[in-house]
Amino acid sequence: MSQTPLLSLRNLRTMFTGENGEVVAVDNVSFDVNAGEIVGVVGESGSGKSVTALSIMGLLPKTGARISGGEILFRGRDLLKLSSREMRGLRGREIGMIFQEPMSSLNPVFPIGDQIVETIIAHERIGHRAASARAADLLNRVGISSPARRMLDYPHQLSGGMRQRVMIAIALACSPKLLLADEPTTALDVTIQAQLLDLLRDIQDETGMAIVLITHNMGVIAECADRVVVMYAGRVAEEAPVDRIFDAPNHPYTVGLLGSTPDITRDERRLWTIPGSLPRIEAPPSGCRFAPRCQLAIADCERGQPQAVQIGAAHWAACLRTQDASSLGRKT
Amino acid sequence: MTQPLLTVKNLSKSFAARGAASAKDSRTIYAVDDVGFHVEHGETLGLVGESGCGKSTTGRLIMRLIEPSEGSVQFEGQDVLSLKGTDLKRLRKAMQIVFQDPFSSLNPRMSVEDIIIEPLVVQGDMNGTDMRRRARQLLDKVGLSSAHAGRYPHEFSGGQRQRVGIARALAPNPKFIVCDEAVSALDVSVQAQVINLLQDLQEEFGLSYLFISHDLSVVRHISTRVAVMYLGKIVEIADKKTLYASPRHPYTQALLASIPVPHPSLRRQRARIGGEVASALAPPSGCRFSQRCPMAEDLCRREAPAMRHLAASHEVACHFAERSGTRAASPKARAVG
Ligand SMILES: Nc1ncnc2c1ncn2[C@@H]1O[C@H](COP(=O)(O)OP(=O)(O)OP(=O)(O)O)[C@@H](O)[C@H]1O
Ligand SMILES: Nc1ncnc2c1ncn2[C@@H]1O[C@H](COP(=O)(O)OP(=O)(O)OP(=O)(O)O)[C@@H](O)[C@H]1O
Ligand code: SF4
Ligand SMILES: [Mg+2]
Ligand SMILES: [Mg+2]
Repeated sequence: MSQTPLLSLRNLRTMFTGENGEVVAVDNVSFDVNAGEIVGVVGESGSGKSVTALSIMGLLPKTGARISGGEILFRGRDLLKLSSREMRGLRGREIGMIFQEPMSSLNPVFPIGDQIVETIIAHERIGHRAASARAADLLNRVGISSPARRMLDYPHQLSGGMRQRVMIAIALACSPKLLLADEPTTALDVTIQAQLLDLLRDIQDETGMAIVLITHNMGVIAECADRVVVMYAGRVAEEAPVDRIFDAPNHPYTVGLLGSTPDITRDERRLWTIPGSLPRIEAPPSGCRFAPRCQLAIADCERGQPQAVQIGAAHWAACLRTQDASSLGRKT
Repeated sequence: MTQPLLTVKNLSKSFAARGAASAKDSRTIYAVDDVGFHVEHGETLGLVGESGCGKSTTGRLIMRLIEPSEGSVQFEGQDVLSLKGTDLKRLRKAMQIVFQDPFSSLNPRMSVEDIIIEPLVVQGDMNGTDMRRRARQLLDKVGLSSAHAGRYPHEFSGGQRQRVGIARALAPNPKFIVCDEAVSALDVSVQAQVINLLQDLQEEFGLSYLFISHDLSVVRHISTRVAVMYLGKIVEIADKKTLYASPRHPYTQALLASIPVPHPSLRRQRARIGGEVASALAPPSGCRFSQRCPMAEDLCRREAPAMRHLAASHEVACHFAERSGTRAASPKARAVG
């Protein structure tokens, strides 16, 4: 693809100050998001998915967190160089975001209709009446029936699935170019998750908006993503088009992640497992972060961060032994 | 045929609704309503369904952690609900439970060894040295090391804590373990380890499990048979293969159609059910699924369907189970991209 990406992370590094000095939560992360595509970011807890999203949005905690390196280019502009006023103008209008727990981002003391209307008015020169009408349209669009009546409801009167629909409506209010969705369905039942993933895909089809879909669930990736970024312990392990991730993973961690997930279409007596557990951020392994759990690790793996190797078109893996990884015995 | 290990009949439990504004407003939640099933020796019965459908309440009732409003539970031919004194103690040895949250289900002020032997201390028929030896054996058994015995829960990762919870459940040599979302809070790579461990232990000790989960892929992997719950009722039970390949209850079909695909080449436009689960406070009359069911007719809104056999190992509670075919079973493949 020769077009300039809509969003481009370049060597992003985000740190937190803890009791015993600074820890690196996001380490040298780079990936692109093109207009109109769904990029899935997948990884286990603590891999840095949310911190990456918050870094993009400029929503890191005011104290104790800092971006110590890299660039976040959105339509060619480095967001890290914008003033907080400029970032406020961009948030909601050009980049929307939805979180795992909608309750924490909805204001409990205002009816949901007001909250959508406020968002629209904050970003556009538009009358209250027109904003109200748009809000009702949006609720309708995200599958909420009798929107005029629903607008008067307070967040606690809605189910989790409904609240997430409202969050999507708010995120869509100003037709952003990019939507960051951080585990938007994780807290919900499967039938509701399926409804919402369908909704996100439909909206994406219709509006051409790009979506960064953050999840720990390989199934959600299989359902929705065009391209995939696999994160492990603050770094990108592998990046590839979705079918390549599933058919030809080249990082041992991706292989293990796929093998650990029970597959509804096949009978396996035992699951493939990755030994050990996730590293602690305070004491990251030297060299390749996956080395202590990796079946293929050799002495060199502990020496430095493995560089991303290009495997094929739009396919990279940060591993010294990509060739052997692709033959690791998964799903046997 | 020998008797099943566990037989549950007509089990019901209602609660007074929490947060009722006044005593007058005291409404009732029928959390578990006329539920029946059995668990064979050495098998895993999966129990699936969406949040609030009554899975945990069912597990707690069987364990007698809460008392039912109605019904019977037979374990090895004994009536669990009427047991008292030493008989109840013996039962408590034979049935154990592992909970979801490895962070809150372990006492933070007790060492791992003390946590594991706690159920043995309560039993009171082993001396201290034997109990400690047993704790160390169990730590090895669940893939931790006996060197961990003196450590405290906060020194362990989530997966390790869940192993401690499993070791505690194994301590009194149970025959039956309720696993209530026992792997749900774990990261996938660690979840797979714990699933394999549960299966190994089952083989070694001939354990039976009631495996409660909302994750249909995990349940398919681990179960022998599977029961599906909706709003306090079991709507379908079958051997795993039948349930996943030819589900007959429209709710089971909808649930299966909602599972994310395992591979992008299987993406499909699926028949989704709309709406959300009705409130347990005001369940619809007739079939509890009737409001969301694509096949519902007047009969469904009038009369609750009884559980009935379609085949020896396949029971379903739907008036039109014969008609429902296997709509969800064959996904139409759709090209990626
Ligand atoms: N406000 C904070 N202060 C200190 N450390 C933090 C803070 N927020 C996140 N971290 C740390 O940064 C690392 C990355 O966290 P992040 O929330 O991005 O993980 P994640 O991939 O989103 O995980 P999950 O799947 O659990 O949501 C973790 O080790 C986390 O403990
Ligand atoms: N002690 C209680 N008092 C009042 N209501 C209760 C109590 N325990 C459970 N309930 C209600 O009973 C119903 C069934 O709850 P239960 O916890 O068994 O569901 P579940 O299937 O385990 O759900 P989840 O998947 O969320 O764990 C719910 O409506 C719940 O709110
Ligand atoms: S770089 Fe080495 S340790 Fe890291 S994933 Fe590759 S083989 Fe394993
Ligand atoms: Mg997160
Ligand atoms: Mg429960």
